[in-house]
Amino acid sequence: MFQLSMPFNFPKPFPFSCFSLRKKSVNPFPLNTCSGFCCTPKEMVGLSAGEKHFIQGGIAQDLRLDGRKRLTYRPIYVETGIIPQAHGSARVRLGATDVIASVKAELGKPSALQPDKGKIAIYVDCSPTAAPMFEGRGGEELSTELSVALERCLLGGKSGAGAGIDPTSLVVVEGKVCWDLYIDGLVISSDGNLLDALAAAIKAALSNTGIPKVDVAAEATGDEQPEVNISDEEFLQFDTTGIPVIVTLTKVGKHYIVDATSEEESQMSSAVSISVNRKGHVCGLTKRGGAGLDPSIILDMISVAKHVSEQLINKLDSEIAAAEASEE
Amino acid sequence: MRGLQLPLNQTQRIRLQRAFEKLQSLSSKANSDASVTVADTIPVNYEDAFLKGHGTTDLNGELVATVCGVVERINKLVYVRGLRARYKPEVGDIVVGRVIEVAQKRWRLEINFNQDAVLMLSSMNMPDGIQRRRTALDELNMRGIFEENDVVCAEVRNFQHDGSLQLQARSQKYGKLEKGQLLIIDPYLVKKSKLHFHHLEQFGIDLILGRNGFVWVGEHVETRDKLCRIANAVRVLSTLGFSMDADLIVETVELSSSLKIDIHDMLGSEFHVLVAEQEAERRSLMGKRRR
Repeated sequence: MFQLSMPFNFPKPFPFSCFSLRKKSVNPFPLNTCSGFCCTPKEMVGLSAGEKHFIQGGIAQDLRLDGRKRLTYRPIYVETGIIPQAHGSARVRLGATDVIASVKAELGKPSALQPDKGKIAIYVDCSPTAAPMFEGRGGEELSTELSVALERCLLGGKSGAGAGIDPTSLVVVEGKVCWDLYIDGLVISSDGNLLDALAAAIKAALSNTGIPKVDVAAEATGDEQPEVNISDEEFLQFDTTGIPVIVTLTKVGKHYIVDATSEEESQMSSAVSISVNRKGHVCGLTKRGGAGLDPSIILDMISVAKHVSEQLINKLDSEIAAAEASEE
Repeated sequence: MRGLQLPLNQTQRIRLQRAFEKLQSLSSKANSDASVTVADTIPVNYEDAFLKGHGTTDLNGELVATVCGVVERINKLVYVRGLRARYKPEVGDIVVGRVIEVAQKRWRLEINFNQDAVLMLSSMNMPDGIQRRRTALDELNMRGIFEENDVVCAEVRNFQHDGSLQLQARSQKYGKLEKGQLLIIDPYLVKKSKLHFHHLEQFGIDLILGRNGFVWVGEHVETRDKLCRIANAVRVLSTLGFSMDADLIVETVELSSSLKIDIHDMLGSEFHVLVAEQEAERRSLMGKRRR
């Protein structure tokens, strides 16, 4: 049977207990995986030798199956505020890839090692509606891989240095009370390039997030927990200009492409996901795929990613702004 | 609207809605609101004798739909045709399928039907072209003809007793398809017509509209960009829900070239709106010409 060269696997059911859907014009959870573009995601169907040859030839000639150039993204569609119970949420569609991200904030105690920083956790789940192989525990490996890659790209190092989201802005009372951010991602439909879509969704969800304002009641001494009043009205918005985007470069033959569909991903030898922020700094790097890469190629990929990320950040920011504007 | 998941801005939304309303008003069906959902009553004259077909049931003396779809009436038969259903094969249909398994003296193909179709070794022309009995050596060399995951074009020969399909690929025009892309669209968009194989000379491209919703766009000479344009035209028409027709596809491609639209931009919202408007124009002109 046809063997895919990527180690993608299966997930467990999404812990959706506290979220509900806003019944507005668009249903954010369509039951069918086909999202408007006629072609169903073909990741689990094999490709004939002629088709594989055609895909590789197209990439070599800079004319992919849907007419894109090697470094062109598919049209990105962003909706924000789709889950009203969460503090922030967004849905991003990249061709037939459909992902949702939500942000929930809870008050907690900061860790003893870093009393001036809040905590952020990212978890991704692959829904069985995305692909039949995700049923039961099928998508677990893929979910862990995506969660780890996102944490590495967005949260920086162990000391919190270089994080896209500044954890010191999450602290309420140093050493006693801080905000814990839980960022959840859900893959509804998968047609390649999940990491880029999830990073874009997280960026949009964070732009949409409003952390309630907290008034500390009285000065507490020693180990007492201070009393806090969580305001229902006032919200603090996050500053999301520092959040990086992820650009995944998939190597097929001698060339790299950006935003691969699942058919193109099945032909890849390796893929490198590079997270770049607005200043052009690299915030994280992940390599997938079995083939080895010469270090010069990785350096070249990084410069290509920096070049592509400028356009992507601008496009994404304008789409997020448009989504927020249309939501009001 | 139609649940189209396209990023449309305000003006595009209005234009698209107007185009669809125009198309609906031009629809030739007498009762264009014949779409029903589950448990809707079907308007029928109960005095006439009529036959209850698929998708209907008798509930409390009324004819009620059991699926979501469109009511079709043929002579005395009243049935509900479900939309976005699986392919309903008929003998003589041209289908495009993908080989899933190479079994004893046959290939199993996937054709978007609820069962896999079977292509017997004896229903396939031998590569040397001679008509002869298939020997054991032929059986061992089956993979030399079609392997797993190959895309094959064939014709429906008959139904077997368990409901599965048997295909044949006896003539020269059937067989393995290489050098191209396979697109999967909804089967109801491909209507039965005289011609399913289209060779578009002006582009040098083969276009096979399989009745099971598998559309093959293949090239003869090295014409990759024309192929991508045609493939994108098929995708746009399928998203908008228009029936597939070779002429319509060619017109869409010509529209895109005349407006100098980039191949990739054919999948953007603006081109979708333009195609819908052009189709509304075309159908209204056809209607005027008839009168």
